[in-house]
This record gives sequence, C-alpha cells and structure tokens, in this order.
Amino acid sequence: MPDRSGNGRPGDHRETFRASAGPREQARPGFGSVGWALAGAAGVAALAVLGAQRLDPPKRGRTQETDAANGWSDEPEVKYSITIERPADVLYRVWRDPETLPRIVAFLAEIRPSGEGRSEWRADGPLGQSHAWVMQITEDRPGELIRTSSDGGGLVTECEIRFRAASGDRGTVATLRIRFDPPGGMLGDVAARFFDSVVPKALASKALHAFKSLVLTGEIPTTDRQPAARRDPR
Amino acid sequence: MRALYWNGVNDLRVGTVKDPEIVNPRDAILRVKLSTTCGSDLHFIDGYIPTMKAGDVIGHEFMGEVVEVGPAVRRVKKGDRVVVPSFIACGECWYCQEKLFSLCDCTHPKPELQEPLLGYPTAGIYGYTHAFGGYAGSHAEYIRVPHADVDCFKVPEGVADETALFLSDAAPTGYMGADFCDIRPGDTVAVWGCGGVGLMAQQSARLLGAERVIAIDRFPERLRMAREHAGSETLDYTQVHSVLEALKEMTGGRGPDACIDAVGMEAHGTGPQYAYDRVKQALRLETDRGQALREAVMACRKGGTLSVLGVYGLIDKFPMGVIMNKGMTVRTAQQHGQAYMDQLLAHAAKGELNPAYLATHRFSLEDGPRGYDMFKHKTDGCVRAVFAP
Repeated sequence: MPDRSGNGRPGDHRETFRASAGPREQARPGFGSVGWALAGAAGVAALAVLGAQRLDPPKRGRTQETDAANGWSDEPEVKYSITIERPADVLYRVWRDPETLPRIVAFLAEIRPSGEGRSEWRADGPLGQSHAWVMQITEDRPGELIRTSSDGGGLVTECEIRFRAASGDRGTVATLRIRFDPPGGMLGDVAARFFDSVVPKALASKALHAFKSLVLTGEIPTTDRQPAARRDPR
Repeated sequence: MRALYWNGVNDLRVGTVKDPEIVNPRDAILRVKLSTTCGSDLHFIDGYIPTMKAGDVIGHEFMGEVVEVGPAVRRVKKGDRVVVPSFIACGECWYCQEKLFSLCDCTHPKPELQEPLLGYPTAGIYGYTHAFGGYAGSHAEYIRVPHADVDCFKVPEGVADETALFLSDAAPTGYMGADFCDIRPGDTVAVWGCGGVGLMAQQSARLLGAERVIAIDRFPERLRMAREHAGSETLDYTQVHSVLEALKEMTGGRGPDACIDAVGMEAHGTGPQYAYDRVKQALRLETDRGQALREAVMACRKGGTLSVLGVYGLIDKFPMGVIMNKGMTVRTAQQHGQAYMDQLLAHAAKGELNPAYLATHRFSLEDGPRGYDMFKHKTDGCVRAVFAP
C-alpha cells in the first residue's frame, strides 16, 4: 500500500500549528517576505503558510480562484498546471491507468480502483476520523480530459485533468483541478487536519509533480523507508 | 548502520539507523568510502536555514562503491567506484536536457515545501533540509542514490578516492562558477573565499584561461593554499583599509573582469557594515551577512560578471543599483555537477586538478561532531573534515 508522505509523526500536527503563530505575530510593517526565512523554529507548516501569505501580497482585482490558489481560503477549488515533456496521448494513457492515481495522491487519500471507472477513496485524519467515498469517471475524452466526480459525500468531490499542447514544442501542459467539499466547515480548517497541514494548492502541485516524475522516469521521488534517527524517517 | 545526524541547532550526533534499501527501480545503494563537510551545512547546523527534522542524516559530498542496484539500472554495476554530484537529477526532464541538473523537475519528493519559497521547486539534494527534498545524507556507512545511471560517475583508475570525493561538490561548484565568467585571454578573476569551493573556483578559472586570479580571505593558511595550489595572488582583507581600493590598485584601476563569491550568507568582514549584518542576523531580521557579495559587486569592473556560488537566503542592502548602473551580468546556480563531471574527471586523471589537498583533517564517522566543530571554527587550519565511515 502506498505510504502517506506526511511531514512528521501524526502527533506533531498540533505542535506545528501552535508554533506557526510565532513568526506571524512577530511580523511588523516592512517585514515583508523575510517571514519565511525566519520560520526556522516554527516548522514546515509555518513555512508553507508564510510562503503562501507573504510572498503573494494581496493584489487588487484578483479572482476568487487566485485566492484559493494562493493558500488558505474557503474557496473549495484549486487548479495547478505543469508542463511535461511528452505528448498528450502518453500523459492520458498514464493518467487513465488505474494504478496511477493511487500512487500520485497517496499522500492525500488511499484509493482503490473498483472497475468501470470507479474508485474508492479513503482519507484518515490524525485523531482517528476517517472519511470514505466513491469517485466515478464522469467525462473521458481520450488525449484531452478525464473528469472524476464523487457520489455525493467525500472530501474531494471532483478531480479533473486536462491536457493541451505546450508552446515551443515543449510537450504537454497538464492542468489538474480539484474541488473539495470538506464536511463541517472551512476548507482550510479541514485540510489542516486531514492533509498534513499542506495548503490546498500544494496538494495539486504535489500530485502533478509526482505525475510528471512517473511519466518521465517511471518512478516517484520519495523519502520512504530511508535511514533517519527517528520513528518516521520521511 | 552508523550515521551522523542533526538532532537540533548546533547538536550533531552519531547513532545507529536502519540501512538504506532500494525503493525505486532506478536506485543504487553505495557503501560510502569518503564523505566531507561543506560550508553550506553550517547554515542549517547553526539554524539559519529551516526545515531540518531531528534525526536527519546529513552530508551531501561523497564517493563510494556500488553494492546494489535496482532493476531499472543499466549502466552502473555492483563494485563500481563512483562519485555522485550532490543534487539528484533524473536526466529526462527539460532542465536535465538543458544540462541545468540542479533544477531537475523530477527529484524533489516534497515540492510543496519549496515552491512557496522559490516559486518553483528545484532538484532534491542529499542531507540538506526538507525544503530541499529531505533525502538521507552521506555521512553514513551506506546511502541510496536515485537515478543511478544519471548520477553515478565511475572514477577512473589512477584517480584517488580523496581526489574523486571533491568532484562531488566543491570542484563542480567552483568549475561552474568559473565557467559562468566566460573567461577570455588576459582576464583577471577575483574570488572571495578560500574554502573548498573558492579554491576550486580559483583553479578552475586558471584552467579556463584566466591570466590572473586574485584570492580574498583572512586565514594565512588558506591564502597560502591559494598561492601554492591555485597560483593565485592573495589579498588578506583584514590587512587592507578597503578591498575595493586594494583590487583597483592591483588591476590598474580597472577592476577584475569577473568576481566570484564563494562565501555566502555567513560572511565575516570588518567595519560598520559587518556590525550591521551581525546585529540584524542576531535579531533574525535578515538571514544573511552579505559583506563579501556587496564587495564583489562594488569591485567588479564595469560590464563585468558577478558569479555567485555562496548560499543565500534573504539579504539586506543588496546593491542592485550598482549592478544596473555598471551594466554587470549576474550568474548563479546550485551546482550542475552532472554537466561538468566528464571534464572534471578528465582534468583529475591528467593531474590538472587535484583537490585532495582540501582534505586537511580525516575522522572516523564516530568523531563526526568533533570534525564539524573543527571545520566550523577552522581549528588547526581545517579546510575540510573528511569522514571515512
């Protein structure tokens, strides 16, 4: 079974979040993007949050989608694109392989393909909560698009991958759109508990980088099972 | 196996950890023969770079013997004596095809940690923070090397282990820094820093055709190495009123054609600017003390090249106006070692580049923390502490 690639032991989560308040409280006018570099003591989550918040100062007239894309937000949809140096039909074939999605989103959910475009998703929270739901391919255009939608419940209600030719003969742009429908509140709050403190946009980035590696090299970079002087070595 | 790991800020320990294993098909496992300290390690040891976790095995400059290969490895064989560049490259993506190996798009297991900081994730690196991938490092008896066919380079017979060791990082970093300078006959290149990378940059500048190389540091034994091994003219910055004036004087008022910063974020210096950086860094208002970089910008001739090899986070008072008004070219990167390895191995085999003299102090792995302490404080003229696990 694929491992969840977390950022520490489950018990670390609350500590990481508490710590993340530190540098933000210390931030002063003019402090600017220095925030991220000072997050040393605050841990990985703080780094990601500070990065998202401080390196992207509010701009006038930006769309709701951009708000969601930049980090914590109650806008339940994220979109991310990556350029992969292979033709669209190759990317489509790899994405359509039932073994691919379970591998590239292993950090987010455990996925079991159950045939005929259906897959069973399950996400476990650190405090013993667990959510299971079913996703079904609802639109399939070879070489172009695959859309998967949930049967109603579930943390992820829609997952769509779209392929188009990249400019400059540089392969194919793969755009992943994920729609979340977290039970019981703000997406950020739920994502914080369920997805190892990673901002929603980062989930799509992580999945697409893993997809790119898989397509180009046949494997996904990992720190699983490596040596380290702690319980979870990743 | 035994390994040297980071347990917290200024707290290194040696302990027993599990052996690495083949995880992906293109992996190889190396028995580490030699592994060395690097100045960039000091940044996270001292706590200036975040995203270390207690228990991380550190070290990214190493060579060893292949003891096991994954099912997709074709070129590399068990028993090969190899050197491995610090940054892990896949060889397949656009960046690798362009020979920008440290920017590889496919080897970072945790891109979500680095993307908010840099805009885009880089390649992963061994033993150097989770923002850079969180891979286990080389100060250990064994190490897993992903994409072995791309990243393991067979060391020719006649090239000693201690020479090959530095082709992992110090030599390719220095060579790349000199390559960035587009050296033309008659050029003068000034290099700030006479540590491993600085000395390698000086020798490389010579190999690439510089007529004069000027080395800037404050330690007599390092300046001596610069003279004896790299044929550099030397400048002890503590003995001059102004590095700018001294360099102007040495170059007929013209300035060096290219300036290489091989110092980075923990620069030492003199005068009020250094005091300013010390205070701001201590208060965590900037991560970097940037005096060497600022000097290099100022001293470089009009239209010259600034080649930055030092590691930086966020620097204060960066003189962008000087760069702009003098029409300078700035080039910088983490090392693209795979792009230079064939040339470096050829230079090493011909005896034109022998970095073994950098290995001033040798330790067992068990003595690793003491080795880092001597390296950090430059005790007994330590340039590099080398571990033989």
